[in-house]
Formats: sequence, C-alpha cells, structure tokens
Amino acid sequence: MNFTEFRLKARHFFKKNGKLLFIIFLVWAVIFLVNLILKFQPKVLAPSTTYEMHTSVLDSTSSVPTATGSEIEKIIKEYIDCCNEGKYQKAFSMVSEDCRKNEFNDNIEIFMEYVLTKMPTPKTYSIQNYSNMTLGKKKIYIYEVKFFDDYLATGLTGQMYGFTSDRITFYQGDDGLEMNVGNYIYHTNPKRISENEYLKIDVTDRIVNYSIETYTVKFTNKSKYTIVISDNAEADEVVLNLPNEFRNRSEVYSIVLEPGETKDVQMVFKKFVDDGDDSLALSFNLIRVMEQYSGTEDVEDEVIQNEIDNAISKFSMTVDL
Amino acid sequence: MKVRDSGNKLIIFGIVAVIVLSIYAIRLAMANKKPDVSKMTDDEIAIYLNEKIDEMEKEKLSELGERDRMEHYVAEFISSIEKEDYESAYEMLYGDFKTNYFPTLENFKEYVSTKFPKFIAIEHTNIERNGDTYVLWTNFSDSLGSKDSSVEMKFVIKEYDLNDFKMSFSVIL
Repeated sequence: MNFTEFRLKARHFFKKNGKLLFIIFLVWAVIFLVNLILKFQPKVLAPSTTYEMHTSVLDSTSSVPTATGSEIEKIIKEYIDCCNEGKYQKAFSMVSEDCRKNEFNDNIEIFMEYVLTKMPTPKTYSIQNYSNMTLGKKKIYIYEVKFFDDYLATGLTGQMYGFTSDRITFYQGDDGLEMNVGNYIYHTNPKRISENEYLKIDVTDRIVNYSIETYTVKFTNKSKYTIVISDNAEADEVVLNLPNEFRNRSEVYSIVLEPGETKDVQMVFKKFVDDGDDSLALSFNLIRVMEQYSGTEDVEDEVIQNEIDNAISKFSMTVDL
Repeated sequence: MKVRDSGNKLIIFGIVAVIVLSIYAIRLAMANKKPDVSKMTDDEIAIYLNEKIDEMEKEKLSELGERDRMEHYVAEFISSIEKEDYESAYEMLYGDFKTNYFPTLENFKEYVSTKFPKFIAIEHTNIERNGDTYVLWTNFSDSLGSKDSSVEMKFVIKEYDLNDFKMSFSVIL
C-alpha cells in the first residue's frame, strides 16, 4: 500500500465514521471535564461525630425521613419551651388526644406532676431517635429525649453530671404529626373473651408504654363458688405469652372472685415495645374453683394444699390477643 | 433522515455541554489558583498565612475522632493560659458561663493566676456526649508539683464546627 492509497483509505474512513468519532471525542471531553471539576471542588470539612439525631440507636439502618425529622425537632423544641416556661396548658394540648386520655386520664394536674418529675427546673435537652416501628400501616418514631441543666453555662461547677429522660413518640395522624409523651406508645381495645361454665375472662383494654404493657381484664365469676385466679400459691399463675418465652406480672397480687362477682383487674407486664416480639396471649394457668377457701396469709401450707386438692375444678384459660 | 437529525442534535448537545463544563472548570481552576505571595503586602501575607494555618488545623481536626478533638480543644485552652494569652482563652468560654463566673477578662485573669499552676499537667479520664455537648473529666495538676496536687476538673464543650467551639469548666470555688 503506497502513501496515496493509505491517504485515500484514511480519508474514506474519516468521511464514513467522522460523526461517530466526533461523538466519541465529545463523550471523552465531558468525562474529562467532569473529573477536572470534581478535582477542583473545594473540600467540605466537617467534624466527624457519632451523633446522628434521626438515626435509630437500635437499628442504624433505620432513619426518620428528613422532613419528618425537622418537624419533630420543631415540635419537641416548642413542647419543652412550653414546659420550661410553665405553659402547661399549651404543652398538654400538644400531646395527642390518645395519650392525654390513656396516660394522663385527661387530667392536666397528672400531666404537670409528670413534667415536674422530668423537669423540676428549666432544662436544656438533647434528642436521639431510639427506634422506629410499624403498627398496622402506621409508622411510629420513638425518640429518647434527655433533660439536663445548662452545663455549658455552669461548667458543672458544684454539680454532678446527670439527666432525666423520656421516650417521646411521633406518628402521622389525620392532621399531621401526633406526639405521645411519658413513655406512652399506643392503646388498643382487644375485646378478647374466653369463657367456660365457671368463669368469663374479658380483656378490655391494653396500654402499651415503652417498657411495660398494662392490661385491664374483666373477670366474671359465673359460679356459686369462690374462684382463685392467682394467690401466689403456685408459680406462673398469670403470664403474658411471647413467641419464645412468657413473662410474669411485674407485681404479683391475689385475684380472688367471690361467687357471682365481677371484677376489673389491671395487670402490668415488663416488655419493651421495640424488642421485636409480639404479645400473643394472656394465660391463666391455675384457676381453682374452691368449695372452701381460707386465703394464703397466715394459713398453714397443709391447709392451703388440702383446699387446693379438694377444689371442685382446676383448669387453665388462655385469651389470645 | 430522522436518525441523521437525532445524530446532529446529539452533537450539538455534546458541544454545548463541553463548552459549559469548560467554562465552569476554568472558573473553578481560577478560584483554586494559589495567590502570588510576592505581590502581597505584609498585612495580606499575614491574613493569607492565618487562613492557611486555620485551613491546615481544620484538615487535621477533620481526621480526628470526637474524643481526640475535644481533648485538642481543652489543650488549646490550657496552652493559651500557659502562654498567658488570657484573651484567647477567655474567647473560648461560653457566653453564659462568662456572665455567671467571669464577667470581665480581669476576673478571669485573676482566677487563673490564683487557681491554675504555671505549668499544667492534664490527664483526661472520661468523656460523655449528650446530644451535641461533650463533658470531659480531667485530672488537673502542677506538672512540677507532686501527684497529690491533682484535682478533678470537668470541661463542657459545644462544637459548632471544626475549630469552632465554646466551653466552660468546673470552677474551683
């Protein structure tokens, strides 16, 4: 191939592929320039910190959406400012209706008492998303808010380092974000019933706080005998069933029904709302229908055992939740 | 015909993109260009050097973890006191803290000269973060004195940005 032939072939090649080559050049030029721009971009230096206000402490992959997080910050600030300034009426009105009713019995004095246990004097605060969960279709954001004295202003002079804290919960309501305080999370009316010829058990109410669940249970003694649900004579008389374990009541007390009696009893179980376990059922493991019952206080073990042995019926009942 | 049109449009778009990116890259390069120190006045050089030192300080701090940064700020405060640069040390204090304990620079100078040793040895024993506020527990002593002279002192620090902070400390009453 002589030079003329090569020249002609090259000319033909460029004539045929010129446009394509120009496009390739343009693409390369864009990539080159973008790289150059990135190189010249001023470095943004920021302090590294472990403090991520809106990222869950329990699950670092779970965060609160930015817009919701900003709104939560504003609400908490307004709420704490109200509490610090003694504007309890306004602070109380910022709390969700559900929380006002179930945690504070719609009573501002109970609310004020709660605020004063957390903030007896004006406090500064810090916010940290603790955990996030879903209830039905509702997303619930749980924050830990710590209240402390303005240490920056005092340098901790003559003071011990300490703080009080609360779990403050947010969820999307019909008119925007709703706020629960006082570790209150949510409330349901299970209306679950279990019944036999002697006894009717009706779980009427369930209040879920951050670390406890409180059940209101209505017992109806349908018989003409005394019925013992719990008197601490046996272990695990009343338990909350979880998928892999069960929990006893945090405070064990006697539940004894006289013939024909109906009684509402509150039962508290320790359970963290964000532990990943669902509460499955309440089990009453040793219900006794007694012909003779003398109680357990100042009564000899022999007598107690004898009465249990002579019970008209012994059975267990479970109410699914 | 349609293919040819879209090819031409692509080329025009590419040329425009290259022109825009080139202008932006040139402007960025100009902004990043190091100033010619030989043409600066002494005052301009001093400002330039201070900016450079501040930049280097920030770069160094950006590589440090929270605890190291807080210890650095405390060391900066102590160093200012040792150098008798009380004004700089006073500047580092939080406004309300100054109002509460040292309303004037003179009050601060007086306190430091009576309560702080000439050469300060400081040992950090613990740190806690509460939101964006840090509390540092330290043992504070005269580096030329005996170990028994050590007293516990707490520093409370709020960091707004790198090398931008305010602090307070437990005042020895």
